[in-house]
Amino acid sequence: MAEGKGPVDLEKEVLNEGLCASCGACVGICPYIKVVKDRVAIIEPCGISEGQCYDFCPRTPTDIAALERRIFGEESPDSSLGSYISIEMAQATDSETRSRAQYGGVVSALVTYAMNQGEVDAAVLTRPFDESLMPTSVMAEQSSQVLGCAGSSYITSATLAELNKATKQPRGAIGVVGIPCQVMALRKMQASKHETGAKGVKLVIGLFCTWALSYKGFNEFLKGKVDPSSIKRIDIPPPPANILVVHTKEGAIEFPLDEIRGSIKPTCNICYDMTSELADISVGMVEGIDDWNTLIVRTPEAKRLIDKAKQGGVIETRPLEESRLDHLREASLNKKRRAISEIVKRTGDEKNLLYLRLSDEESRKFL
Amino acid sequence: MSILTVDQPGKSVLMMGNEAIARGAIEAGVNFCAAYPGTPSTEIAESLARVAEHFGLYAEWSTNEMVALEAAAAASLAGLRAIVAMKQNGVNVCSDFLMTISLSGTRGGLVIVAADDPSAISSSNEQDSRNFAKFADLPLLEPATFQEAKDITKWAFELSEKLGLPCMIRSVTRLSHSRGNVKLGEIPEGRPVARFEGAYIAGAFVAIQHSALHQKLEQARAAFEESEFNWYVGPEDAKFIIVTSGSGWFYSREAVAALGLGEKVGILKIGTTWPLPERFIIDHLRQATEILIVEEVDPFLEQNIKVLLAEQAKTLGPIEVYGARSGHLPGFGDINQDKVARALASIKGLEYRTRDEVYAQRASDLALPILPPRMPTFCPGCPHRASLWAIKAALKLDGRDGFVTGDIGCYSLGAGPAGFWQLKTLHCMGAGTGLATGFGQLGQFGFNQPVISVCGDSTFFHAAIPGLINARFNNSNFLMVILDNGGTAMTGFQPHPGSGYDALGRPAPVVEIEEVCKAIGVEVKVRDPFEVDQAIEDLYDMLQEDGAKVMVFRRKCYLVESKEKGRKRVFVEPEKCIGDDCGCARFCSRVFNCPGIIWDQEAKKAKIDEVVCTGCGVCATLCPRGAIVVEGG
Amino acid sequence: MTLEKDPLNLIITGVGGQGNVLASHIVASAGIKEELYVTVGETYGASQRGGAVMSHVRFSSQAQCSPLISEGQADIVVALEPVEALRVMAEFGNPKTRVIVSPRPIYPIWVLSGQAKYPLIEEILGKLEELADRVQVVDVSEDGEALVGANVLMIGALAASGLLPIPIESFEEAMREILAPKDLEMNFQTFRKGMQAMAGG
Repeated sequence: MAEGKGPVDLEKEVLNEGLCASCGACVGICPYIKVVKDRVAIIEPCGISEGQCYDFCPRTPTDIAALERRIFGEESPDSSLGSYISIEMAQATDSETRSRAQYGGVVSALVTYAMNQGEVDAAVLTRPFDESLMPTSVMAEQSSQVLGCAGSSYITSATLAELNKATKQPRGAIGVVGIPCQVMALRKMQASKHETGAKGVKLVIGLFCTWALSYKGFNEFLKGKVDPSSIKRIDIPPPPANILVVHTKEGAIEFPLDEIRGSIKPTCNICYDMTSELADISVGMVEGIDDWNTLIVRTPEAKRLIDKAKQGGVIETRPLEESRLDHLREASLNKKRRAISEIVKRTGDEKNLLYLRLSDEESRKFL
Repeated sequence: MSILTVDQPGKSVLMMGNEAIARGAIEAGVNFCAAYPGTPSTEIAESLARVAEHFGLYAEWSTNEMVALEAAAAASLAGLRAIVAMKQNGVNVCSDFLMTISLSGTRGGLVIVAADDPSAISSSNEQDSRNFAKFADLPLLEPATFQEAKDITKWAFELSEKLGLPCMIRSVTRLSHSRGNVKLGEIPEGRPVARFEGAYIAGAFVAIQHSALHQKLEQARAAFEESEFNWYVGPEDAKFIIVTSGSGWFYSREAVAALGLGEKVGILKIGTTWPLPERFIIDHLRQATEILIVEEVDPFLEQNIKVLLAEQAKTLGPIEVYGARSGHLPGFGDINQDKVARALASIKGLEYRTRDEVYAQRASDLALPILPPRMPTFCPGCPHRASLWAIKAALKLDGRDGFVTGDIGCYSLGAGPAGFWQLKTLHCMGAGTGLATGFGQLGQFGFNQPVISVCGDSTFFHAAIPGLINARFNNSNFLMVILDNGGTAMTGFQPHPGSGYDALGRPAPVVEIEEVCKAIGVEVKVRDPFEVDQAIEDLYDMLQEDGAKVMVFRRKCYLVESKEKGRKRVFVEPEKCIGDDCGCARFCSRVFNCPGIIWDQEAKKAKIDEVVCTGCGVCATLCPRGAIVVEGG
Repeated sequence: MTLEKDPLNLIITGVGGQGNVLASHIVASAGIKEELYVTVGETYGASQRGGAVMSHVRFSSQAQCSPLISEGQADIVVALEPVEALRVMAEFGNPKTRVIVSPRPIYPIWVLSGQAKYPLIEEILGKLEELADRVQVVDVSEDGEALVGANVLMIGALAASGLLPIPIESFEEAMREILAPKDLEMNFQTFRKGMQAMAGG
């Protein structure tokens, strides 16, 4: 893990380079770093040369292998999908959960179950489209709040900033649902020598993610076309559709995906992780099957929870077809390839992979 | 009871220069007083307002100095005696009316007191307002002592009434704000009836009016020749004479005494400075071969006297003139007896030292290395601290190199460390908004930096409204942040149209700032700057929008609030304070800069200074560990 | 009355907000009752906001003085804050100056933010001792109430010091004229505390 660097370096290497993922890991630790919408800024350098902000950031040099050893006991043997115990299809058994959710409702079902069973006391979630384009981070303390956070927002909110608030008011065992960059930052927090907001985190559910949109860009794009306060849901159907569908109270509007691509956050182009490889449980879509999820179980503790949830009748699972698994691998590897290519374009040096610390063997796969 | 109401003619009391001026107006039977607060003039109207009911006179805080002068002129035109008081910049603001009221003439005595601020102790510039009297062709009086401040003001009303012309009195900080002995005079009785007659049209046959104005000035000059406010002290046949006016009188006298030149050097003190009492001056300079002119700020007297000397060259013969032009006195800044004595000493080839050199050096060596400087900062609890931090944060989050145009008020300190160096321009009342409306039009030249103009509530009413209307009319792009702390705080928290009470403390209608903005047609939000995170988010959102927008940060000046409502106790729970560590780095004492917060070097914890702290509680909301507690929540 | 030293120059110094102006007003008003010419010069304006402030109070039996004391010409320095005492002595002190000082620091903003250091009180007092004829420390910092009325406290000490040819009664009469009736009793108590502190020290 990077040591000996602080906010001045964070600003120089990440914020000023447009690489901030807006994960919020650096927000709420101190009064000097703030977030509004998905914009993070250092209001004033605090003068400390070795800071938690630089340490936790998912875009500062990260020893992924060391994190894997810490979480899974070993480095991941599968370079495309990370370490896992099982990969299946899964869905929530409750139809209302499935209808509120983006796909199979597995995340909502699992978090609700974990809270009801007392496995976690609170969950850090993201609530999309609450009268606004910008999603809100929520520390849910009642399981009834979980369904309100169902659905994908396509814009990152600074989820971990909500977690950092926990240092002022400790909340027992916490579950976190996040995207890959947020999960990575969370794992760096857990590996830190400092006492952090991640102290109570017992369950990490990571979502699949290809890219996220910047609030400013997407908001500009929608101006005059859609009233953000009327949005109920956003969908990206599988290829070859190449569209983004915005569901409003009045109906659905389609936009060519190519027109949206300009609003993708630059940091996503250098992201190496599609399936949240560092989470306990990873959940994503199954292309073409709208009411099922792909469920990756990575740790023994996660497996215990999933088995319990199945027995409790909250979720059901099915095997994932081999062709679908291959497709998933290919998609993940493509993302890694694009990331490396983009990074080398930025640095002009194959040896300088910015925040990635890959073994020679690993990087040779992509160069 | 106010010292102005003491009805004991002949009694000697201690009075501030400004109080003496006010007392002089009372002794002249003044009926009407209008002013806008401005250091160092504020106490004149303030003390008159305090006794307004007692004397049955009218006093108001006007929206700005021009309105004040116009309002007072109305009283004069209706046959009453009126006084207007302003700081130097106020003269600039009412200059247009000044230039025209001199042509139309006045009726009842109208006295304009201009209080200059040499060295700009509380101003954004220094200037010599005497130039305005010459510019506007008005008689100018300069009191030199506290007694004279009273007596000259009283006489000014008579002069003004005799001439049908406003009379200007010029004071400076050192006289206005210092205190000294004043022997009281009589307080007149009777109250005139106001009635308007005739017409007062400036610009009707200007040639005739201007010529008539010059004749009035000649009448003034004739009166000045006999005036008790001009005097000479010193040897009859002195060859070296100091010619001085205003504050220069005290300094010249002490300088002469300190150098033991009382037998050699005479002092000619002028109190009726424009037009020059030429005969009086010539009479006293007949024996002189050298003169030193002592005055604050510009070489006003110096230049006028040089003209006189040139005209009288045949009569007076050559006279060497020392002053600003010769470099003996600076011609800028304030002066004191040491500067005058050094000038005198250098001319006379003498040494001037007020203390032993060795001691002076020793004192310097002992003290200077260890004395920390004392920079002014915002008062404890000041809402501007929170407002400027929110502005700084919003601009940083926006990320387009935005900046702040500043204006005049307590928040002017925002140009420095007190306000996190946010203000990048600072000029005069309303200039922040005026500049912003200009910057907001530069988009077609590739300008994309967001602009925030910061403006106080009193400043808004005084000068900023035309700029905001301009922004709306011409479609300018900027965010105006109005810092509404409930009063005109910099000068002592006088009321303004938004405060809800008037100069006499009576309830007054409130002109709502946000309603004015709505009427102008700009988007306006009102927020409490003490809710810092919400303030930052709102500012950021507004910066993303086009057009002219207004954010009103409304929170009463906490010094006033804590005096009215009492202070809550705020303290640090030391076990929660992480001080130097990552996560805080001494934010409250080091960065937020409130003087109520101390860093305890030994304990390595923050501490609240309970004598200085006013209990606003903002630091408690900003502390990253919740270590600061407000008692009672 | 005639003064031994004419003019007699007194500087009251402190930090904006400590009540310098009120203190000088009381002393000067007391002086006028003795039929002296008294001139008081102040630094105003930014003083409210934590800056250093000085009142120059000048007594003369002969004529009205200018409102400024020349370099090195202070006869008495009454300091409501120790750093300001030294700052004033550096510019206006001479070997005959008598100093009355409160030892309670008010930290300048640059000290609070770590950009400057506040010297040790012992060091300040030691340097004052070297520069002045006599230094009297008026320390009542245990008494929380007295802290807020530091200005009146120090005037009490000054009154009792005998350095000014002004009787206690004149001070009390001045306070009666200047202060609001509801504050009188508390201020008289603080004034007497200052007098006692001078007697003790």
